[in-house]
Amino acid sequence: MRNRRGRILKVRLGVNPNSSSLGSSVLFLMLGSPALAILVFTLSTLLRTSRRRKPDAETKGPRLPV
Amino acid sequence: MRKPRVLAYRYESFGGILHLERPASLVWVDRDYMRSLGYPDSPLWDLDTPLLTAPTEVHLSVTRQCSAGCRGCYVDSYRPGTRPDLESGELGLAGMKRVVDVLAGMRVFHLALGGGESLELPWFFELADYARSRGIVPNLTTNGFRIDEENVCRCRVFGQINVSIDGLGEEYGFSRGFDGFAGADRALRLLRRARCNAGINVVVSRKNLPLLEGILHYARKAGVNQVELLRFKPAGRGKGLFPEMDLTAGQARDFFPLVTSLARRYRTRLRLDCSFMPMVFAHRPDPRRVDFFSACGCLGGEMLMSIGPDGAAGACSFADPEPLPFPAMPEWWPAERTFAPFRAWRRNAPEPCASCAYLEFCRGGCHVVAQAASGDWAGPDPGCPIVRGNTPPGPRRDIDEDRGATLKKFRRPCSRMYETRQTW
Repeated sequence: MRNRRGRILKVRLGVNPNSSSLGSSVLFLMLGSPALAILVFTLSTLLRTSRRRKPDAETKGPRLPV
Repeated sequence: MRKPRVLAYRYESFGGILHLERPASLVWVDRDYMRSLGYPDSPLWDLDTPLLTAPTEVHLSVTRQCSAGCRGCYVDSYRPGTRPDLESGELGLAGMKRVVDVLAGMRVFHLALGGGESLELPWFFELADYARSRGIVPNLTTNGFRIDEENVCRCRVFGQINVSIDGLGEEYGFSRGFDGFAGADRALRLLRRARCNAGINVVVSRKNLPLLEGILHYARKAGVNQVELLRFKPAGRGKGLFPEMDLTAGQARDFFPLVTSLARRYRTRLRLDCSFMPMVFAHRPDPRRVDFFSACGCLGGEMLMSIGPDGAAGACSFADPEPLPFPAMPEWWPAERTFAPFRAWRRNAPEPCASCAYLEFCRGGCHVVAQAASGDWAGPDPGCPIVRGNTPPGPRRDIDEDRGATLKKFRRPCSRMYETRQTW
């Protein structure tokens, strides 16, 4: 069976402390493609390194939509 | 080296969202990725719904009290003791903890705390600590006047704390109506000394846009980790001031090249609030980058929600609250009628938005501004350079269009900034 690693769909960088509106980092619009590729690769590596070894007791996920 | 940590995760129909500690980020991944990280399958994966199971962040206004009295205050805050009618309606610590419990149950990732001025509440740090204990990262915007040597270490509970500084020295008063720079500057220095993740919020208006370079220079020297630019909104006490504070057509058109040039020069991590996104999209950035890095206009009622001091829920902090009791949020959040004007806006978008390549991202810019300017909440954002007619809308672009021509735009020399400085 082929090992499907999946992919990262979207990233929201940083944290928004602004309590009035949604803030977006515009760093990605200022970096060149190589820098962005490194950033995404780094994120993926960090996620894979933090891989869970055992499933939690809670496996159902949040409440299903109505 | 400390192992990188996934602070929290949440299943979604497409896979899941992971909250990474360093770098601080939210990462959307598909189902296979979740499986490859060791997460078991979820019943949600049998569904195909575009709506998230919960907002990723909630803006929680814990009080409308504030002693500062800024003239453009969008919440029309009141000084403590002057409005017992409003004060009695606020939830207080116990009520706010119940709000946090509900949000934690829905696996909201971030709380953006504000007010009024939250730090004027004696129990505020206890609420922030409680949010942390429930797995939600609290973040704060503050005027900084209540930060001192005794409480600054407690500010480490926040993932990010931004101090509002709209100008340096007496220029601070251009927006706020009084000179509070010394207090804000002192707060920032204390926060940096205490090694808090500290940044600056700048409410940008026609009056202080020419001063932005000085603020970014100051931010660099102060060692802040981000500067967030917020558009002046026609709300609260700001409603009457909006015509004199709104950016001019030229300023709106040149806003994005200007701020990115300054951010490069002063090596600042720049964030823009959602209502500035039309000014970004008018310059036609690569849609695939925009999509992947989730730069977005109005996502009220989808990625974002607000809760007021009395527990009233709204799609965003500027939207009228709806009769949705927060304890029942898991029931009403996924319902189609909840925040329907926000969620369904794209289906009936007016021109030029309907033809715009960035419709899915911009979502009409700021509806609060549209409402104030034209009386039509659903109308296009009048501040958008395309709407104003300064920039032609261009054809709707296929996302597979040649990227080379688009990327070339971001390698333009900074000389363009000098042209724009002269125009304003």
